[in-house]
Amino acid sequence: MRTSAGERPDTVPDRAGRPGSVRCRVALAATDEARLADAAVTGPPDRVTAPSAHRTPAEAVTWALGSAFESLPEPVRRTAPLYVLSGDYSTWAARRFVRRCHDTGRRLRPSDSIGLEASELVRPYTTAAGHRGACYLLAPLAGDLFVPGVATAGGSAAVVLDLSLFPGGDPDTTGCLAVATAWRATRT
Amino acid sequence: MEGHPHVSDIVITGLGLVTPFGRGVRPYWNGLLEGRSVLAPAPDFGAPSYRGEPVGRVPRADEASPRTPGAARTPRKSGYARVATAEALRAAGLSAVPRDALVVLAGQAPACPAHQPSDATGEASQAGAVTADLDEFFGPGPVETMGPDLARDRVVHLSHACATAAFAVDFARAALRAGLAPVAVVAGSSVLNRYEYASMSVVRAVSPAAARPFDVGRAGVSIGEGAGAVVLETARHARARGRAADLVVAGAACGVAGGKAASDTGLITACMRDALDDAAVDRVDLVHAHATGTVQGDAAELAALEAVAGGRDPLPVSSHKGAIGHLLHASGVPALAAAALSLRTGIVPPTPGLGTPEHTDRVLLPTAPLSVPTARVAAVNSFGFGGNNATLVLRHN
Repeated sequence: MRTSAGERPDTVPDRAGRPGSVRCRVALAATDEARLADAAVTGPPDRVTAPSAHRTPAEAVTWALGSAFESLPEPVRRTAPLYVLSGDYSTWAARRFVRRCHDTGRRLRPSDSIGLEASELVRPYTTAAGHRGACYLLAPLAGDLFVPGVATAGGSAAVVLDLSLFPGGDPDTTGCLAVATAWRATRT
Repeated sequence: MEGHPHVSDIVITGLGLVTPFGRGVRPYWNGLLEGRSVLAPAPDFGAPSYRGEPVGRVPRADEASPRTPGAARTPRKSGYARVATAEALRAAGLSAVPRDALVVLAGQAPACPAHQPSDATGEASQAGAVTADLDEFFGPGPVETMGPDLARDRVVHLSHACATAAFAVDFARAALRAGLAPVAVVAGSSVLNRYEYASMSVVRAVSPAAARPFDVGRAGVSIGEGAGAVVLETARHARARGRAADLVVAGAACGVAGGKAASDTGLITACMRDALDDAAVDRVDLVHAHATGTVQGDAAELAALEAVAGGRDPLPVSSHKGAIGHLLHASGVPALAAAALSLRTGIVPPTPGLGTPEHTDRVLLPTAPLSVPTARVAAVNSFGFGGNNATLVLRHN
């Protein structure tokens, strides 16, 4: 399992090539303990939280986001933007919806329609936490290194959530590794 | 700040549309001013969940032709986005998408190079038809929309249900402010397809009659198709190219929270107030509402608009969705275009389909073109399932 969190540098340069933002915490959560072990990110305890296993993707995402946002200073915690790299999930959810549309043995349900949206993974956390910052669910079509630069350039802090999916035996369910990284701008 | 352009402002320099009124922003705007609705049943639309409801279809004569003669047919979704992008680029004075531009595509999920239809449906015998349907559900495709010279590492795809295009404009604004690109091109499109129609039908959102936003007799959404594109850049960059920098994306609030449905008055009110705060303006002169025509959704938005309206005069509010239908992920662009043209022309269009407006106290729901010659600030609302709420604020300098 590749995790981009493990490959990213701890700092991202600003437009002048100086350190623009610094990674201040990485939180890993997943629906599969073996995947968590494979994805382990090393670092000091205050920068890398102990990986955490959960029952569902939404629960894993909620835990990872809570841990990452918690590392940000209180004044910016509710307003820091959240960038979610959720392209694989969007594709998987759309394919699941397509399968259900073609399933002659099961009626389509309203929950299938809502289940199309990747926002359903982050909504439990953002709602419970009273998050008022921007949230972007995006799929970089090649590379994602620019995201932290976008994330902190407009403010003092941001969280980037990287979602990886595990194919399972049942095509209508998926496992997930959620890597939430809190970034702080070095200058505000 | 208000009324005083700043070099770091993010401005709109190009807009492009394909709608059921045809190709171009101008036919769309004229249709709105005339209060026309082009919603009608589509006998040839064969989706299993379709029951003959009025829909907004792009005239077949306005479909995009292949990029090169003899090439494979471009999926309509990408073809419409390509036509809209070309118009936006022309309006911005650009001959093509600049290599260093950021491209932001709006849709349900990124276009897939290989759809594996038999895997997706378990019905290999339907593979051809299913692949065509998937081409109209996923995407738009980046190369099909922007051309083969596109720098793929500058492309992102956003997915925020029916609020996607508004989120995409805000994301582009954030990236431009961060200095990550001098220009951003946002494009989204939607075409009638069995999957998205099913997604709206199963939640009982589709109206049996043409959509009538804010009307007391409204009964739901009419689905439309089309595409929209926006070129954004810093005011400094626009001026350096000799382009007008009069239309500023002055504020935005794009968040995910609340209930699954897009009908929470408190959240909509907070979203609009956050966007107006971000724009540092003390009033809004007109609003282009999300207003799809659902009973609950329109009521929730209207209550929020009443809460936000604070001027001496009633706040003019209109919606385009009774004219062309709901373009789903792309719907934010025709909304943005209507607001932009209202600011530039000093006219708020009526809401097509609106005959008997809901009672309002501080909001005005025009049923004919309304002159607003002093309007300088407009808000655009765009909401979606899954707690996706967006408001953009435009300032006309």
